[in-house]
Amino acid sequence: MFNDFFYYFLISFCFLSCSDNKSVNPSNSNDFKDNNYFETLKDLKTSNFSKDSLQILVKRINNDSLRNEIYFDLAYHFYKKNDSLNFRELNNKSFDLSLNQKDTIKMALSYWDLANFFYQRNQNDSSYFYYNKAYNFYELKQNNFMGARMLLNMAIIQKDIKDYVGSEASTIKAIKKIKPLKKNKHLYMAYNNLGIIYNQLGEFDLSLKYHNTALQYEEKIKSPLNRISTLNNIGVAFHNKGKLTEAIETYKKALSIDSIFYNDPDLYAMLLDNLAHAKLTDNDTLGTKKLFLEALKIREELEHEAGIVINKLHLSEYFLKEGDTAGAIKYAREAKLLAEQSTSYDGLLESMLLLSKIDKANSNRFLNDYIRINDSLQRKERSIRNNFARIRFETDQFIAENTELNVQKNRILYGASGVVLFLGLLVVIRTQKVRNKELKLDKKQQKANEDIYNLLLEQQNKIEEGRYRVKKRISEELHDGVLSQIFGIRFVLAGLNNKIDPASIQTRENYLGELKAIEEEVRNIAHDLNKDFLSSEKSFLTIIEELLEKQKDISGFVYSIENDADLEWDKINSKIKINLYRIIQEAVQNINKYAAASNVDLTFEKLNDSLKIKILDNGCGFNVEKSVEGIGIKNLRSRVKDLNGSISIISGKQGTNIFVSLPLN
Amino acid sequence: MPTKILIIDDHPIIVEGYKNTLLEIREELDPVMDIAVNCDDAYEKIISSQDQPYHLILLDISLPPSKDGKILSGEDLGLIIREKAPSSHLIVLTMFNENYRLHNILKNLNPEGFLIKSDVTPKELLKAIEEVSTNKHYYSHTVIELLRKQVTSDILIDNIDRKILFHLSKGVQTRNLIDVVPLSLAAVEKRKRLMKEAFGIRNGGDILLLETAKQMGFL
Repeated sequence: MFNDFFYYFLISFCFLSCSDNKSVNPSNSNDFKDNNYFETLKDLKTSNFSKDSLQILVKRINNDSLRNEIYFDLAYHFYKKNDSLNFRELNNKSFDLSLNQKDTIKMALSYWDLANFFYQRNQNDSSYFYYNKAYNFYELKQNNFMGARMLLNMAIIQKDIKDYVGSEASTIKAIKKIKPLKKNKHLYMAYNNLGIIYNQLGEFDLSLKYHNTALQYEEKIKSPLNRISTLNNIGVAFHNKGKLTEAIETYKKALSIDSIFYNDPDLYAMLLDNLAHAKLTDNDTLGTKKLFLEALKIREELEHEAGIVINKLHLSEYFLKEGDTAGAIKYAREAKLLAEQSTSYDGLLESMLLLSKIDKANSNRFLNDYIRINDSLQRKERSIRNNFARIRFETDQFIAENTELNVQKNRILYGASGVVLFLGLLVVIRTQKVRNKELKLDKKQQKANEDIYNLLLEQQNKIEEGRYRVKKRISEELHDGVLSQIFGIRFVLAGLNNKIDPASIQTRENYLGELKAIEEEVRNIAHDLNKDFLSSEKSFLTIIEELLEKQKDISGFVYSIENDADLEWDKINSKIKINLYRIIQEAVQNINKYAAASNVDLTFEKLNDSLKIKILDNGCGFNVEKSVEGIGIKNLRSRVKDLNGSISIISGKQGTNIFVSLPLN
Repeated sequence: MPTKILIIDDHPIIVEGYKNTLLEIREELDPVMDIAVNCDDAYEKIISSQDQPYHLILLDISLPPSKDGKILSGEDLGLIIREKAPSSHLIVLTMFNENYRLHNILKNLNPEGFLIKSDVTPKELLKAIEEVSTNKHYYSHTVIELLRKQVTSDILIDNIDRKILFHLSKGVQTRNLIDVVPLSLAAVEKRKRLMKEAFGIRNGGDILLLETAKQMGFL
């Protein structure tokens, strides 16, 4: 029957899976992946994107991970196109699907895209937040390279917000991860960052060291623009260190590299500006003005505000050096204004400082402003740093808590399962013990029953022996007594048979009398026979009597046994007799233990088809309802139940009465 | 010369009967009768007549034991008679007709006369006495039947077997036989089995065994 069920199940399962396939046009799903998918996706990207067309596309696909691919792809497309609305929406959709499918890799990528998105918009805290989230996923998956890339991105943001210490830590962490992987491009980026950090921190030697290390990696990746950038930074470091000749040399080296202007005009302008500034500091004013103005022109075309501010400040310095205070003030003021407008705070501060030097009249005002803005800047920076630190800390804390919770959970789990096992073991041991005990008790019961059975058998044997003896006696009596006498009489009569004299006649008459006597004897013997058979019924009662006789001495009671003459003990089932014996035994033992009785009366009565037994004692009684029933009384009840009988126990101060009724058929 | 006759029987009626019968005996024999009604009495009479032992002793096997318990039955008494009065001729009378008992009596006492009471009439008693007095033997016909069966039977069973059969026929249970024969229960069972085999009984219980044994004269 179980086999049939299995077959039905199997068949229905096949149908189900078949029907599953039917709902999706097989040709569609396969072709879709190869041809339609790319086609349609391209359409969506190139032509006007509409939400509806996307819905249609997505609806035709049943596969979730495929859908996710589409969302992700499109999101990146819009990110590149700078379409923030669509990007955010698709990025969200993709992220939700990834979350559903527990695709942590895709989730990390979504975070990364989002972080980049925010970075583009200069929303540093959001950007940092999402880079950090992506980093955490990569850490979970132990993907060191991607994790390090996230760290680098975070380090750059930290540098941007002037959290140099934080940036240093993130960069070093990233380097530790990337170095064994020998990712040269990223190592360049990392060391470059370190160089910039140390420059800002005033550790110019360290800055130079790391910039040079970065150059070494650049040689492996051959990226000219990066090289130029690093050289620029080295130049700045030299300049800050006061090594102006080296600075100028480095700038010239950088400028000598091909096609900078075409590839990165901003960098070109920076180099020009820096070179001119270095020369100016070196008191070499030859051609510096031209350089400054060229740089400024490029920057103004590019609308690079921060660059313009610095350029103008440098020009102000130049004019100052040339003794043209008016020119210096003009440029300085222009710089300050632009700095205020473009919230380029560094430039602002520097311009104030410069103005305070140049514009002696308003010096104090500029200095005060400087102090005020500097303070508020510091505070702002500190607060941002703290925010970032909090983000990191909270995440770290979250991770730590998570791990801690996991560990705790595991501990609890093991502890609990250990306890459960242990308890289970205890329960098993207990049940085994109980079962053992039960078996032992059962055995004991069995033995006791056997003992009684043997008692009964013995009694049977005694009866039989008795009967045998009786038979023997009677047979002997008949044989020796009656038979011999009859023989005697016959013998004599035979001898007298043909004699007719008076003496013989008299003798014959005498012997006739003897015959009568023999008749009498035979009758007596027959009567005796009857009586003897009756006496064999005493067997069971004899055993009970023996029991009471033995027990009476323990607490010294006097007993009486009353038997109903209608009870044919011979004919009563052995099982009833054995159990009845035990019942009476139990009751008497109880009487001995608790009752302190002086009289015990046992009555057997036959009523209709039941055997009624009364066990009465005049002891101190017990509270039948109140006290917990001991094993003795429980046994009583169970035995009576076994025999389909009924039992009632009434007890009071005068004594205890036990009434048992057992059916006899 | 008078023939001294001792009658040993515990039933007065029987003694009367014997006396009357003896009155009819041949005159030449001139019987002189002595009577003993129990073992002790008999023993005394035998001992006191040792210089002039009885010629003939009529002994009933089923006598109650002597007061001191030394003589348990007529059989014991018979042995004493053979010992103390070897010249006396012994006629045994018994109510028993079981093969086993008769066999034992024959073997132990080897009486000159052997009468089963149920066979006997006064005439036959007279004849027995006359024969035995003249140094001849007389066995009543049941005894002769028994002997015939025994002699013609190819089967030999020993005393213990007979004892087993005897007690079985008396209703003694097999397991109680070990009290009457010097054997273990297993040995008793083996003997029963062998007897059954010997009697040619394939599938039979004790009842069949006893019936066959009776038929063959072993019981």
